[in-house]
Amino acid sequence: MAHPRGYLCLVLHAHLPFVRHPEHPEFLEEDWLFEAMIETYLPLLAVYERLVNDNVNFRITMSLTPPLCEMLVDPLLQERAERRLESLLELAEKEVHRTSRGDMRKFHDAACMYERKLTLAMDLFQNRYHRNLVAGFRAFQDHGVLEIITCGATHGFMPLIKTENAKRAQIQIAKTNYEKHFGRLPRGIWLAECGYAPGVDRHLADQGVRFFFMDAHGLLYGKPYPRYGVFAPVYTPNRVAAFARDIQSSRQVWSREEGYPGDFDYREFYRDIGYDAPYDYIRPYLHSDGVRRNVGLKYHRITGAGIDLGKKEPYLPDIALERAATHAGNFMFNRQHQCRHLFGVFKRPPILVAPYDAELFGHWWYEGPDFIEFLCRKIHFDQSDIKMITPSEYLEKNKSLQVIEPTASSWGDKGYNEVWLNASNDWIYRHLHLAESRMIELAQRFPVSDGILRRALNQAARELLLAQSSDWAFIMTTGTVVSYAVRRTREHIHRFTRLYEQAMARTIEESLLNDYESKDSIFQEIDYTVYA
Amino acid sequence: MGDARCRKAELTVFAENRIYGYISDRERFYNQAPRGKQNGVNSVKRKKAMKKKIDTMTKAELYEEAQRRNIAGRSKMTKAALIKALSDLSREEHPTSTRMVHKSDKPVSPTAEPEVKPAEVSSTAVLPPPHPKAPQYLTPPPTEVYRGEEGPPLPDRLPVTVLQAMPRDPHWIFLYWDIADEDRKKIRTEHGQWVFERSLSVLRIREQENGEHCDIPILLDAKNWYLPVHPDRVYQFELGLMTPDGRYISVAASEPVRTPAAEPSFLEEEEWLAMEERYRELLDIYGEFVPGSLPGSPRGEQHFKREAARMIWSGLAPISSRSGRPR
Repeated sequence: MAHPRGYLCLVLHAHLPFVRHPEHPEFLEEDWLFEAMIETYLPLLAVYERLVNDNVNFRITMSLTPPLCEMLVDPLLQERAERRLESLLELAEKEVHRTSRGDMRKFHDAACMYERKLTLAMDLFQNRYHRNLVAGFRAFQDHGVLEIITCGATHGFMPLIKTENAKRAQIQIAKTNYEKHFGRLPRGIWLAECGYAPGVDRHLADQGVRFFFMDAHGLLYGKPYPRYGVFAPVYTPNRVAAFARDIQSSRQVWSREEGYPGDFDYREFYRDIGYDAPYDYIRPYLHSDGVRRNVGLKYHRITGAGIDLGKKEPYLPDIALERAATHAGNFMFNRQHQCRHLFGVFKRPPILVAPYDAELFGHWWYEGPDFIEFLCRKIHFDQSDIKMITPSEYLEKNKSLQVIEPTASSWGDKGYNEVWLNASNDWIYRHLHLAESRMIELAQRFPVSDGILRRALNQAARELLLAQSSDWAFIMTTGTVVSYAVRRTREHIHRFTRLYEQAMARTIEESLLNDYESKDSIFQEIDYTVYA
Repeated sequence: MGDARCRKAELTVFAENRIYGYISDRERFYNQAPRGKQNGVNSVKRKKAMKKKIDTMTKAELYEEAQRRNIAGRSKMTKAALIKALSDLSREEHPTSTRMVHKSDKPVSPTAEPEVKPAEVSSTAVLPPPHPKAPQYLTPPPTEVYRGEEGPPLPDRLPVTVLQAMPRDPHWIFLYWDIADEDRKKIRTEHGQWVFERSLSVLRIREQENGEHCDIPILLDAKNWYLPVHPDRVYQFELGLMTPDGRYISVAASEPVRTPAAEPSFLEEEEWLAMEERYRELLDIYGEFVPGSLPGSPRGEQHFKREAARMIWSGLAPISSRSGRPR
């Protein structure tokens, strides 16, 4: 495969907001992390491991955001994740028996699959990675098959951050955190929600970040028009490479109508034994409030379009697996065609950038990790038109790029800032921007500090960063758990303001500071002077 | 530039503002006012009807009404006092609804001169008509609905004077502002005690490229606003007061902001970092030949680029980036 017709750059963006509540013995929103670990991150690691063992030459680019890394190495959350995994495995073992006779027999295959997969996940979690999944991903990066990139410190949406200092801090703190977790500097970054605005590239360049990703129109509406469209990266005015996403590969996976995940043989997400099983039986596996919720074992397939949840048919793992293989073949076939065509146009191999939320694979699209495994195997064994590549490798091979000033854009609905700036969430920005200015004021007023003052200033920076997570504005727009997002925004702004006032007055309450430090414990290495 | 038109509209709105401008607690009106279209005639009718209704009520009915409207000291009032309190209240309330022109989809001037609507101010050269996909309101619903429900309350007012402009998309800009107490005081000392109440509050919009400006009347206490704009231009905003004697007082200014582009650029110059020439091949495949415009002529180049862009974009619908997170 010396001369491929084109390259496929598969990007998985793994992110969750910092959700850690030591003040409660259990906390509903922490489930986001545990579900993602059990259904996405551990299965992906299992996939990588099998591929490496079989000498499959694959390349995947993953962004692991700083809040996610911080949670994955947090001992409290690791312990809670282990407890969750144990209880789920116990339930899965019981389920193998419960489904072994009578009416439940039709679910037996699925129950056995869960037991098998959860046993494997448990083994990886405890014995292979010693609870630390970051170490797992890092090992694959060191092996050369994975390129891990970073993201804004708390997934802050860059176009709506007011001050240059605060933008710089999002990048610089992310860089430091990446170094802590991966032992080297990040070559690339995933800008939260692909949110780009002119000038952001300067901060990337300043921190030595060589490339980032954007949505197609960010590049296509750039000035001047990009000669190779989205099929080659460009340099921004500050000489950072920008890769834009390929529309066709995105649509095949994302689209509700045309996308693979909606196939009728795939697992139905919304039918869960948390609701279906007898209450007394399932009660020990629910939260202590006893409310029925998803537990993660689901026995039905999508069955058909618009079919009532009650009429769904049993899930058949073998058939679903076969569908995943077919879809991987179809995806590869389409990319081959695309590359051959584009090679004819350009007389040089195009790069197809296919970015997705990592949590789509496994959590939403249960067969997603299998799809990725089949895709990597097929690309390696079955053809020679396309080759998987990471952005760093591409830039090594292609040193000359067109210079474009991309336009402000994001990959959110409608392509710009509206998801994070609309009537449901525009009230947050006056508070966030004020906090930015105050943080800069603190950093300039106290260029050096020690003791409790330094702790308070560092904590103020953490509170600001946590308030800036784009997730809160996003949740307010989608309307799912709005009260939690509102509370998180207000809490962090409130804590920031108290710390600001106390630091300015030089009367810091230690008990208060201890409390904030124990709750919002992200970025132990933080240095608030990045805001100066 | 429609400067004259702009000014005429300003003056009309200004006149309107003087009628109701003395009402101090505007934010309450903003929050409570109904959404529907209202005009002066209707509200007068309703007021009369209300007055009549109050006059014909028994004392018990009046008391019940007072209770519903939460009138203080009602239990000690005589029938006459109840009538007075209720009619005072209704008099106070009705200007409220007529102020709420901004919320209805077609603003109607309370001065009953429908040919000069505040909305027309925005259809000058500086500002385009609302984008077809744009929402039906110009100001957002009050954000205060969250207050007191979740988490610690945040202060209503910022301690600084600020005007911040943020592009929402190529066609809309969001602005928020606040005026610090000391700045308010300073302006009052300088320009008169009632300068805020008597002046028309405006957002002055400057377009950087041609230097033209236009004033949009706003509600100062709304503290935020969505404005329709043109894609890919640089705007700078000012929050100001138009005094009755025609002076303009600047209260706060924003940084210049550029709106995002909404279509491919057809700039001719290209810069490359050591990239070889492959452009012709791309054009040969993508572009369709237009008789009379040879490739190489400016028009031909332009056309090919446009075609190339169209083909890349053909069939492209917005793709949702998220299938549902957060859970």
